[in-house]
Amino acid sequence: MQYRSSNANRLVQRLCRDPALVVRLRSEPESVFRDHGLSSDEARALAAGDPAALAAIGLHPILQVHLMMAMNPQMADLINMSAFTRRLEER
Amino acid sequence: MGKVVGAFATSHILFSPQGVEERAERAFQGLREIGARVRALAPDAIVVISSEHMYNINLSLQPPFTVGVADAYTPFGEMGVPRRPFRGSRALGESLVEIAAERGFDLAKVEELDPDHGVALPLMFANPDGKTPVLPLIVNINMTPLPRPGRCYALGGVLRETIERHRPTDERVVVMGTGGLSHWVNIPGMGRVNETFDRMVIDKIVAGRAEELTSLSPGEIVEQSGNGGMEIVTWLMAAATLPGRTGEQIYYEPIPQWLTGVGGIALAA
Repeated sequence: MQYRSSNANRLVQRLCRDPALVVRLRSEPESVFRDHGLSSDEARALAAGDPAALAAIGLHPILQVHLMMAMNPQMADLINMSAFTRRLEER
Repeated sequence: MGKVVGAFATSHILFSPQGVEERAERAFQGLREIGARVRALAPDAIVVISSEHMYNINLSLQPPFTVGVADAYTPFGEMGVPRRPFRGSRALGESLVEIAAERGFDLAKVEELDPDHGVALPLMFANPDGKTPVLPLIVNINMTPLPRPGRCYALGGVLRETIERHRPTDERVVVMGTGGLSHWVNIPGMGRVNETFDRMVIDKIVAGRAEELTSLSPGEIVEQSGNGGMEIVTWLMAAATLPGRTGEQIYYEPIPQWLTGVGGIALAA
């Protein structure tokens, strides 16, 4: 599994339980990166969101998905079962 | 003694049907069929064996296997899964941990768990009112070393023993393994679906030959079906609760737009 212990992993694994942090990450990423002690390489990779760059800094592949879903609501809408949830509710 | 009255395995995702309407619909209907079959068995408890997607079990603490022992659960609610609570089976969880310890498996227990889609999505079909008590059994495929298929299959056997020898008479238990099939999650190969491997896994298990898949190493599984494909160990664990029993494929759809092949099977008790 391609990851290593890092402040980047610690930051991203907090996102799913901290909506305020997601809002901050979207609006003032540099401040969030600084608060979490990210290196300049980690900050650049998280800001870019590019899988190759994220892999290069050792962000866990599953946490890469967390990051994408937090930063890209359109993607989060695609990775979502809501179209079917409504039909189950109608049962 | 209790009884495993049915074992199932299914993928645990449904994504947007946009652009893949027909395949998505068949996957949805497959999950519906599995849910209907589980409900028809009128189980007293449902064991759901799944991976976890780092909503509860992340890098902070990395237990290889985790047993839910709570009286109730509320899903984490990601990916559009409603946060509708369902009952937990503390007694079955405690029994499994106790018997497993005697069989060489020291399992982690968890009281605080917000089950993610791996557990909660299949239950939307199999346990929609949340009244049937559930035992979540989490296999950690996000840590190193990866879980070995043989070890997982053996733990499935311990689950069977727990149900058959250490549970109240007439307790009817359904076991569901969830996850898979092939998918490469944010690693090179992402978007690939290995239909040949997926169908091989399905065919082996429904032919009552799941144990043969324990000869695969974790590295071979990742090579053939991606890091997400490791979730097939949950299928092996479910199959181990009805060893040698045959069954049938309920659905299989390779959906590259969903970045995965999705499928489901049923094994007869």
